[in-house]
Order: sequence, then C-alpha cells, then structure tokens
Amino acid sequence: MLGSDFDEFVRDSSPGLLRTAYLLTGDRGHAEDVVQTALLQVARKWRRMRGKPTPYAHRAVVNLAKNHWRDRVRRPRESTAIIEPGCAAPEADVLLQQVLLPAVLDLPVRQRAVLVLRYFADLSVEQTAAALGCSTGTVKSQTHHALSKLREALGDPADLEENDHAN
Amino acid sequence: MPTDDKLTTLLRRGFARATADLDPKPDLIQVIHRRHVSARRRRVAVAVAVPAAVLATGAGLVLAGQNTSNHAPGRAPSHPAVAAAPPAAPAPRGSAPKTTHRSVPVTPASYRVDPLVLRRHHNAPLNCPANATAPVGKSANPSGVWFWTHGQCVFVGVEFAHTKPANATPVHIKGYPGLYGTLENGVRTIYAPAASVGWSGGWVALSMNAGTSQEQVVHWILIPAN
Repeated sequence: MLGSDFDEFVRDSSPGLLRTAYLLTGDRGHAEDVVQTALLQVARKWRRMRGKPTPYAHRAVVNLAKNHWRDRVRRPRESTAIIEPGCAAPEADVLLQQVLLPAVLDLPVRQRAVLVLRYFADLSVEQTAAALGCSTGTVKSQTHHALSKLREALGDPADLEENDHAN
Repeated sequence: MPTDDKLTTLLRRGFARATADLDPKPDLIQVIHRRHVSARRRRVAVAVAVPAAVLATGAGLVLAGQNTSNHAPGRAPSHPAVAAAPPAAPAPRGSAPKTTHRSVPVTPASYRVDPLVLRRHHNAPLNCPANATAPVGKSANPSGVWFWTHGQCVFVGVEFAHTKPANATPVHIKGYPGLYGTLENGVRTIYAPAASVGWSGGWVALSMNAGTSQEQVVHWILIPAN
C-alpha cells in the first residue's frame, strides 16, 4: 500500500507537474488527466523508485502529453487558447499570452517539451534529456530550433521589448 | 531580433503567468489512491484468471489425448457423452485456484482421414473390383476405401463413432498414440480420436479384415491433426 511519503510526493510535485502538463497540452482538463495518469504510473512503481520519483514523473507527463497531441491531430482541432475568457490582463501580458504562448503551442511537440522543461520546470540539459529519453545534443539542438522559430513568430522585437520594459 | 537570453526570460515570465492560477484539485491524492486500488484489483484479477483459463484449456487437451480415464483400457464410458471432453468452464472470479503453473502432459492424439484418400480416383468402381485398373478407390456404401496390395484387394470401412466400445484395447503403432482397437468376428476395427469435431469427442472407426496390416491402413488413411 502507498504510504504517507507518496502522499507527500503528490502534494509537493503535483502543482509543478500540472503546470508542465498544461503548457504541453494547452488544455486544463487534459493536463489534469495527464497528471493523474502519470501519478498513477508513479504509484505503481513507487516501491522500486524510492529516492528519485520526480524524473520518472516528468517523463511520464511528457510521454502522456505527447500521446495527447498525437491523438489530437487525428481529431478535429480544439481551441488551445491559454487565456481563459473574461480574464483581464495588462497589455504586456496580452502580448505574452496571445503571441508568445500560442507560438510555443504551434511548435512541434518535442521542441515545446524542451522549452517547457528547461525554462519552466528549470531542468538542466541532462535532466531534460533524461525526461525526454534523448541525448543532451538533441536537447540543445531542439532548443536552438525552437527559439529560432519563436523569434520568427514574434516578428518585430520592438513591441516585445517595449512591453517588456513597460512591465 | 531578441537574443536567446531575452527570449528565454520572456518565456519564463509567460509560462509563469499562464500557469499562475493553476492548482491541482484538493482531492487529487484521494483520487490517485482510489484509482490505484481499483487498477491493482484489476491486475490481480487478470493474473489469477489467465492461469486458471490456461489450466482449464490444458485439461481439455488432456481429455482429448490418450492419458485420460476415457481412454484407459477396459474402461467403458458410462454414457456416450462421457467420451466427449467437457467444455472448459469459465474461471469464477475470486474462486480461481491460486496454484502455480503445472505441467500438463499433452500428446498429439487426434486424427483426420486423409482427404486425398477419399478424393482420389473418385470414378473408381465401388468395393473391390476384380478387374480394377486403379490401385485405390472409394466406396459409398459401405462407406470406405479399398486398395490393392500384394495382389489382394483390401477394403477399409471409414466411419465416425461418438464412442468407442467398452472392450476396445490400446493399439500401439509408432507415431500414432491414442488408438484403440477391437477384433470381433474376423473384423478388426481401429478407433482414432477424431479431430474434425474439435474437443467434443468422437472417433474415426477404420474397419478391416482381421488379416489386414493395421499399420499400413493407419499410415495410409490417418493424418495426425495436432
């Protein structure tokens, strides 16, 4: 049976995992499903992974999110708007949330995962490689390609920088 | 163009803001526990049910083979249905035996009649013709086949029987386990467990003159089906 240490792990890690899943899937409902399933996978192997469940949980979240995106391309496209309706935001936030984040969601799933794990979950290159099941070289190249695409998508940087300073 | 540093700073800020008000539901831990327990129950049920089903299937195979009470020499089936292997009972949930796998001796012991024997020379005359030009033929009534060997015509009746006689004794022919035979009134009959009816039992009955080589007949007519 799962002990209190598992409960503690869920309490500590679930907010970060949920937010990571949300950034990977672009949908709160799917993100919650992904996190539940990932934590169930952790629970199943809990006794064998004492000491380092977090990398496994990250990997599970990324793989499940990948599956979600793979299924999604076979179905009619859903809205992936990150801003919730009725959410008032300052101008800089609007730019971030309506330009930058949709551009992130348009990236290929692996590039998106690299950005989320490195710049949101604050994983190192090695940890990101372990979570994605690829080499560190792949993580670096995917990061480079992802940032290049974002730079193209953002277009004129002046607006962005002005808003950045204004914020 | 923004530098990588600037872009990653923006990304961090954007990610943080987009997820700021996102928190797991308060009952997440309970949900995980509940789903974990039910998933575990399902895994246990499958782990028990699958070996039980394997054992049940294994029992069916044994009944169709030679190492069964039905095939024991000198023991007559008390009822025609006894000769048939009972269908594998579904493993009741929760009451399945929790034994480990056990080795079940399964010997190939079911046969079918060589279709070529029955199809070949279908225009040949019935029964053993004195002036036959073909070496083999088949007969519709009585049902069977005939062939010439050593200048003699041999007729073998081929029929299907639901059960074998109580006085049938094992016939040992290399490569053909599970055969039984009787010898009555100068007629030898060999009973081979039939494959054409699956696990429901039944025998192919080959009748021949007592002086006929039963090995030759069996080799010629029967094909092991498993």
